[in-house]
Amino acid sequence: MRLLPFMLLIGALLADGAFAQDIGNNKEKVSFRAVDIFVKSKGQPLAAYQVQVAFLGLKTKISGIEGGSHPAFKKPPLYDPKAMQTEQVIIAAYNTAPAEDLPKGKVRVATIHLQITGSKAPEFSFKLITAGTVEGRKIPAKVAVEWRKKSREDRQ
Amino acid sequence: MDKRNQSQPEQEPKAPAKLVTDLKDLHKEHIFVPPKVDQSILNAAREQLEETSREPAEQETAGQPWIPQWAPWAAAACLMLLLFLTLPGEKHTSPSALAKASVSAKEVALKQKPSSLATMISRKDINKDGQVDILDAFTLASRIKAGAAIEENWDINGDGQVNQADVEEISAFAVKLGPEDNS
Amino acid sequence: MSSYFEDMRSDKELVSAINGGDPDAFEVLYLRHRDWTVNLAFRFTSDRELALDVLQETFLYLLKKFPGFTLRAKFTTFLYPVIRNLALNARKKNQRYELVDDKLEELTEPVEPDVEENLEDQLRMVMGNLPVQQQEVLLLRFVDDHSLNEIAEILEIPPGTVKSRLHNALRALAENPRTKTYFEKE
Repeated sequence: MRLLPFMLLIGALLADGAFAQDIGNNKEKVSFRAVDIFVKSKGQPLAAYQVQVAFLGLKTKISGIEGGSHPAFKKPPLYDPKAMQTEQVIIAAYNTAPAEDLPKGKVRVATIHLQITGSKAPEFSFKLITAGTVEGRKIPAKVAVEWRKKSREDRQ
Repeated sequence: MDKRNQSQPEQEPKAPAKLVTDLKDLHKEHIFVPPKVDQSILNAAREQLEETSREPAEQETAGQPWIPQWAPWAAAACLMLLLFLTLPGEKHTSPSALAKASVSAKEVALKQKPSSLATMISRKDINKDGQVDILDAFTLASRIKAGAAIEENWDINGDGQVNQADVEEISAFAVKLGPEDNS
Repeated sequence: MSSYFEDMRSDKELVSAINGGDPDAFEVLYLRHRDWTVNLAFRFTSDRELALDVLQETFLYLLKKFPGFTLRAKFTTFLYPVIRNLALNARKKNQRYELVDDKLEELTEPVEPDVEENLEDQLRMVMGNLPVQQQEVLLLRFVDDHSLNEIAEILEIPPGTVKSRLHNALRALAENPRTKTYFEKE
């Protein structure tokens, strides 16, 4: 009977996963990867885009967002600062430059840097909310998200 | 000839132009610094530097009778409150006074943000497609850049002007994650 | 944040203002040199997250010097060895932990190969294998466009040593089969 409170306490701790968490955290590795966000505008100049990306599971956190490869979208896109250290973000950017200075076809518009805990790759979902051309007109476009190929420096 | 003079004409080692170009290309990628990092450094700086600048003021008051710094402000606030409670309110009865009052109320109303969410969102829907997204920010930015006609209700931030600040308000709204924060 | 690019004060003037307890002056100084600092840190760490850590440590280190800090040389000349030392330490510490898990590669979707191994990639590989001292002088000279005397001041070594390291670095590139084509006459 006297042991009952101790047993209840241990049971509560186990249920809480405190011990499991301690063991888990000691063994879980942290890695850093990046995903490239591409918008394919099918031959029309891309003047604006808005994409939502979500990484499923709590073990992936967004640690940084940078701009893309084309000069029109070189600057980091707009996003809610609260997205940092969460699993989802809406990114968007626009450029009022003339059509000849805007990208066409498949273009990397942004890169999202991730902090991943554990060895399982996160699943992610993404959605193109909108894309537009020079007159502000919506254009049919697609979004693609790809893991960035690790360079030698990333492996060091 | 002195051996040292013989070696002096040796020029600084040169690199081929293509090598220099490729070296620059290799290092042109810039590391993005998240705003969180900036904030943490600048907050630490603010804390430390404000503490530093406060210390001399504290030293100066040593030896004087202790008077809290907020005392004058508290006294002023009490006086204002006393005046407010004791002075009779003015009554606007003349038509011109009424007109003035209504004009000033209208100015205040224009500056205030509408209280209903639907009205707030519809003002940001610049291209009237039923949703507020980056295309609305882009449309407004393009119109401002081109000097095209601007609608008064596009003054999203209520500062009396329609400019880039309003574009930024729309952009920030478009990328906001949760619907709960609509400020 | 304040528009730091509009602030015309020199670094020395900003340091003086910070000594007087002005946090806005610190913000201007920070924003003016932030990108250079983090990119330099990345040269040594080859890791973005470590470079960001070094950025923070560098400016917190600088902050501790106020009040009473005197800037005797160019700000970047003062900061360079600080960043280098913090970055090399961070890289050394980091190598104790396994950060990359190869299993992550297997579970992800295959990535389309985007580039062939070109001359630039080969240059990156060879640069990565050069001694740090040689990499440094090459980058300070040809990427940052510093003169030999400026490099000597930054690294706190004699100009003759800078010249000699530069010479050795270029010779290493010229002799390496991957990068010798840069030195072949067309």
